[in-house]
Amino acid sequence: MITTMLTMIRYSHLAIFELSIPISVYLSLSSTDSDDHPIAILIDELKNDDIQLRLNSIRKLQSIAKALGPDRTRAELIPYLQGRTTLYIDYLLVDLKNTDSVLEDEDEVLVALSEELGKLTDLVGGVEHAVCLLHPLQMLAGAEEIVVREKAVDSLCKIVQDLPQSTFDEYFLPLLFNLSKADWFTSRASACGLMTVSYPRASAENKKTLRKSFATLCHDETPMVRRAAATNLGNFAKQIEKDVVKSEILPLFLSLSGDEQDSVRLLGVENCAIIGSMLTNEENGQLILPTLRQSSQDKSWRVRYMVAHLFKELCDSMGPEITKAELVGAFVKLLKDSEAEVRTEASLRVTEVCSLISKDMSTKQILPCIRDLVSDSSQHVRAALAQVIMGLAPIFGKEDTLTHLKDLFLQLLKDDFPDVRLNIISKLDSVNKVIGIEMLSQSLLPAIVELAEDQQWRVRLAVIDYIPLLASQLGVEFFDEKLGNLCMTWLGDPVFSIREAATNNLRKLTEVFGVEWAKSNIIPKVLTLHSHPNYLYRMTTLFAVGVLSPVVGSDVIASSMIPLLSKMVLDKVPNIRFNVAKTFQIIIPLVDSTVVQSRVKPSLLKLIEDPDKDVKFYANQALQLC
Amino acid sequence: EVDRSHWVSEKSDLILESERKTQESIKNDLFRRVRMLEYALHQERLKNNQTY
Repeated sequence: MITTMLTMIRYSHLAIFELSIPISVYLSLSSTDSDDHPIAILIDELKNDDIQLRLNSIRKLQSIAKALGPDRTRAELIPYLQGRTTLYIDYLLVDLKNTDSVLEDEDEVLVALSEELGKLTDLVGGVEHAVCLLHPLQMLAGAEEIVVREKAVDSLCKIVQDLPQSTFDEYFLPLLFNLSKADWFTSRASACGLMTVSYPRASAENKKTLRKSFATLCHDETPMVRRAAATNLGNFAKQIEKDVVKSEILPLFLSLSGDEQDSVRLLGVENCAIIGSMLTNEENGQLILPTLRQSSQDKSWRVRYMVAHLFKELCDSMGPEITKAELVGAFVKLLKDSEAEVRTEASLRVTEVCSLISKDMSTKQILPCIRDLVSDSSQHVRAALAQVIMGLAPIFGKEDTLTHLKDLFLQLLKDDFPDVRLNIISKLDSVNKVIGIEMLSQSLLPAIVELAEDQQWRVRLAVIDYIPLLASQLGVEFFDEKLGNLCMTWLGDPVFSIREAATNNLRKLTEVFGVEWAKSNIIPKVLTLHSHPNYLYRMTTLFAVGVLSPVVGSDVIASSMIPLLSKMVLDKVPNIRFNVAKTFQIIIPLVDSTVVQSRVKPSLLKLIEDPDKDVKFYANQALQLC
Repeated sequence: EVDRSHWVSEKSDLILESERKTQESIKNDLFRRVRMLEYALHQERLKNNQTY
């Protein structure tokens, strides 16, 4: 114990040499107790070349602050972090001119610092003193890297909420105004993010000034600032009294939505939804709708894409009347857009939009578009449509689904692009609920059977995954009649993954239909495969036995599986022989020990004498379980 | 072949070495932090005892 402590102490002194501190600092450190001075430690740590160590150090800033206590944290730590060039700390005189300021470190470290500063309120002496954190964060909010700025703004927002009113008025608002008037655009962009939190706390007069500076930011000459303003416009508007929103925020909204940069305009679409939800239907019709109409026909596809992307939100905020009168028309145009990306996004919203409007309207206006989209030239559009089109069945009801949608489903099921077919298969059950199993089996089952023999093995795999669910819905008789054979042909598939999935499928089917059914339907067929000339298919039998044995019970294993395995011990391909041994490993724990001793062990003893070393190995492994 | 395995083992040695160094300096940093907190606690205790 003592020796370890001694070595540790030795190490600590070594560390000082290794860290290459300027001699002057080192002398001043060693002459007093200030070796343990928290800030000296921080300085040393931040000098390290390894960025991970510097990050660790900043992540543990709280322990430095704890060691210093609130008073000295404010007087010493915070100024150091701000990068003051000379610090006079107690008996420790550190000339920082030669040391780099923390603020010039890598962005990663600055992100960490921004985050840690937000957590320091308690350690600088509570909310009364939190004001000292504002200045370093303000500097970070002007950083070049956007991630640093965002973290700094987050931390500022967190601190503002707890600041006492007097501090807020006296220090925070001036800081915010400074940021919004800064020379460099980074600070101005950060200012946009701080408006929303500070507005509710400001006095009436300050509120006016805040709105004014926000307006200036909205008309800023750099697109980056205008983008930041557009991002925050909606949430800022939420904090403001309604009549002022109409008189002051709406013009800003209009000017941003008509911005020359499409990256700014597209942010305006989200604001349509947010501001729209604050106004009445009539006001929406007058004030927001023209902009929305314009955005949905914008010359930049990215803006139109945004409209399609947020279409449901827009419908919700505009209310049902405007939706019916105007938005459905716009939606139809988006479904026919010249850009595939826009059509894809609009296709994904088809079900949502149809659930908002009357069935009549859906049939008359949306359905023709859907018909066109089913044979769209872009595979992504068709895949998107296939993802949601099944959801229309409950909306349309049984009759209309059969008359209008059934053919579309069938067409998509036969699509060239596998994703389209996959998307349709995976949502079959919602149609089942509406049109009933009879109808489904009559109209869709032939197509499913066709897919089960699809060229693409991934599609076949998808069908297999769906079989247990389908089986439980169709019932035993139906299954035996139409799908039973299919499940068996998969066992002889040329692709291994399909054969594997098919064996697992057999187990799931046994779980659904019971052991008796498996005994009479599956097991005999599986067992006949063992005489197949290709060893790969003979192996499938073994896999099936391995997978089925846990669910069929010990009687079936003893009566039909063990005899088969004993026969296959004599197979001429070693791969089969060692897989027999492996299968025995699965079976042994499932049957009585008398059966194991009398019927399994002899076979394994035979295998252990095998000339092939893999067979020997697995037989040995299995024997250990006996 | 021999060269290659030699090179691989040398390289993994180098990686391990640099990892060891990093861990060492992390340990040193942590050790200093512990001493710093011990010292702060000590000072705090002294101050409190004087007021008794």
